[in-house]
Amino acid sequence: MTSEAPCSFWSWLDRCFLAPVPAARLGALRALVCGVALYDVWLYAGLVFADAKAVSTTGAERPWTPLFFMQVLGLDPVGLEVANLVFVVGTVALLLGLVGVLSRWSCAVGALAFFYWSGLAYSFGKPHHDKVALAFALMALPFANVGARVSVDAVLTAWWQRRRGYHVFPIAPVSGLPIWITQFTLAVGYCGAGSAKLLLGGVDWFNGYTLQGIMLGHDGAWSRTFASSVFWCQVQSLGVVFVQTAFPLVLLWPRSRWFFLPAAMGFHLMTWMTMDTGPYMRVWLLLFAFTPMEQIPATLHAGCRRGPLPAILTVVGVGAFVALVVGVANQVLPLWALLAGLLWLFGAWVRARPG
Amino acid sequence: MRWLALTWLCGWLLAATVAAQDFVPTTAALPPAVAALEVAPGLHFSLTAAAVEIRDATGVRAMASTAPTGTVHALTMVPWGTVVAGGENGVFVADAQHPVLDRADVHDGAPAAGVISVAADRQGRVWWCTSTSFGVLDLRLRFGRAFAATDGLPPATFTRVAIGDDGRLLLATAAGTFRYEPDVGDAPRVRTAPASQSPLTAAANGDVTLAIEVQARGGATLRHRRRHHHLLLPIEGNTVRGLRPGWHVVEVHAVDRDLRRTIVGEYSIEVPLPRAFDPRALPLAFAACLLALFGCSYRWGGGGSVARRCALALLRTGVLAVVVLQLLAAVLGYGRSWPFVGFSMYTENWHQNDVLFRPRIVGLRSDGSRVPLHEDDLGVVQDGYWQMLAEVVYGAEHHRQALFAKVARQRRAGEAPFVGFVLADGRIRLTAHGPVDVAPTVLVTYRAP
Repeated sequence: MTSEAPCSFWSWLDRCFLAPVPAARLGALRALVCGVALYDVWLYAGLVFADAKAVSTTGAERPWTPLFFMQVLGLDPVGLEVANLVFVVGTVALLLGLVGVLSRWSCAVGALAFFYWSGLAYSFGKPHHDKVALAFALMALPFANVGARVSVDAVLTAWWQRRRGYHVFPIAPVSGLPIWITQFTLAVGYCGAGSAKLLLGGVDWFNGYTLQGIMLGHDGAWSRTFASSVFWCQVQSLGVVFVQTAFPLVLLWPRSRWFFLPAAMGFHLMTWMTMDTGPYMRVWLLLFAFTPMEQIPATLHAGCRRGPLPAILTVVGVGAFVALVVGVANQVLPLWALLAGLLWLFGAWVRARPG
Repeated sequence: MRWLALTWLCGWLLAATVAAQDFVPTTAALPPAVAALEVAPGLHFSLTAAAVEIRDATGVRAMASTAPTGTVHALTMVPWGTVVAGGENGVFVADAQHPVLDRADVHDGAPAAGVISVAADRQGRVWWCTSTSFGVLDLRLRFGRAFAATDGLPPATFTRVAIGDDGRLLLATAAGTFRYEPDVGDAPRVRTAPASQSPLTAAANGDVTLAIEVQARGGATLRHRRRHHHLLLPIEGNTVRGLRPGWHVVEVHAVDRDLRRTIVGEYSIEVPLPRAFDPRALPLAFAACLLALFGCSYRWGGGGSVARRCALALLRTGVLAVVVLQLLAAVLGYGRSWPFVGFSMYTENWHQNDVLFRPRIVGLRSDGSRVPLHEDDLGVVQDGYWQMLAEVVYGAEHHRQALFAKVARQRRAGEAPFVGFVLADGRIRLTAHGPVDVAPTVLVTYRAP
């Protein structure tokens, strides 16, 4: 790829962030990221439209404290007309990105709409961490060949080549920039959160009262149960900070993903129940960036063929996971759209069936 | 005729002199001290020699406390049912739903110890005295004020405060009983304010000085509240401190010695970004860094077309910028730089005896029952709990009506309709034996007209 010495800084950077991945994995990430971004745009729609309505009628009700990039670009609060336009453009672009039509362009437009939409919501409120990785993943998508597989673009290209009588070559691995950026951002996010507790909170953070205070201050469904004992809160504090701080191990030692990915997801589901973070789905769905997604259908097929018990476990596990995602997404996205997405996933699974 | 005029003049002067006296000696008898309070049907809190007891259908038992109260000397109850106990270790609160004594959530102007008497008036203010000091506090405002000799306070030793039958305050001292009439004269009002209400610009550290002078009985203390926030914070030396970058609407509240409160100003204040984040200079510096990075990452003299080498250099520059900025943001922690963010959330430490605050909304039904309602169900949560609820406390009437409309929609078929709501700041005390729900600070009790 380059003529530089293989040990130079830039070669190292290329190996870390531009290393090739199977095109199907990148395509799957594109679909996932666009789907999650679509969910996010719809999730924030109520908030953005309420502010936009206020701007159009009586003037902004909430204090406008712009994000830095909004300030640098001189972007001001918008009224209903502009908000509607951004919403429609974002929705259409992300839908096209999800199915892979003009993949790089639709992802680019979707990313711009997503950033503007988030900027509007956060400038009238408080920025949150739960879509930082999503933002970087979306931002990186147009810079890689994300439509080479798992996309309408790929189907049309193959069809056109066959029609012209060209030989259809297997698609070579493509630059995995979006995957590596997503992985890096997630690792920084977890490690930063854990390290900050260690550095700013110190040993005192583990006194049990701190976690008790965090959980009870939000009064989730399970807060009372999990915050009732100071001792158990101390134990939980240790567990939380260990998982967060040591999370970057997943980059250095891939086998550790078997522990850290379920632990991180379990952590988010726990905070959902014990705090008011919400489901945090925009983070834990992106943990798929650490998995070889193109192998998932084959792995599931293998699980189903290994015997009745593995088959039942596979079906129940996948079913529970899908039900969880659909249940959360259904709070903002229409059910028919989710069912269509499920059908598409099922089709991809059947299509990937070996033999 | 001349004698008549002179008599009238003397009489007027005498009346004016007496009126100007804040504490007037009186022979009025003090009402009997409160020995027991019925806080709910069949539930009594009573004062024994040194402590508070709970009496209900199950019997009599001592009331627990989250901190040592010392000897409790007096009990009183504010109109919305919160019981205030004054004692050796300060002021404590409890209520029917939370029968456990907990230190009152009052930030300043309340006695820390040695309270010998407390009395609540019809407005919900709690008048208190120690043997050497006297004052008033308001649980809703979370602050109080101690009277000074300049307020005409009679000499100590004080022995009791009580509310007389006519609503006036009676202060018993070693030298006799004095009558004090709160809320006489005008509420706090502006003496001088800026001619223009144009937006103000704060210093980079978030401090802004207001040119405002206020007249109030006993002298005014100023507090400020940011729009959508629910705490009235003190203003010292007419300076509002520590505003964050961005636009704020800040209300200035003036409070007199009787804790009458008036909004005397509303300011739009712009707080510029710290110089390090100057939106003109920083992007330029950033662009210069990117250009340098591009130069370094370009494969000078390497193979491939110039376009390909440029594309690769751009990609490398972008990747490195994203990586470095993420790490930098993690260290600097400026939240507004999203998606480059810091990680200072949840790093605050909590300790034993700390209090957690959380809004509580209770629906009041026509049959007298009370129903706790969740903010999520009512749709009053945005980024924080108070963002939408603060205006219910301090804003115009339509905010309370709007919240009541949401409460009313929570009625289920077959249940009595809602006729009002209580909005309170719920409190949970962290103790070694586990978290304890203690009496909330009731902020609004609303009943639909």
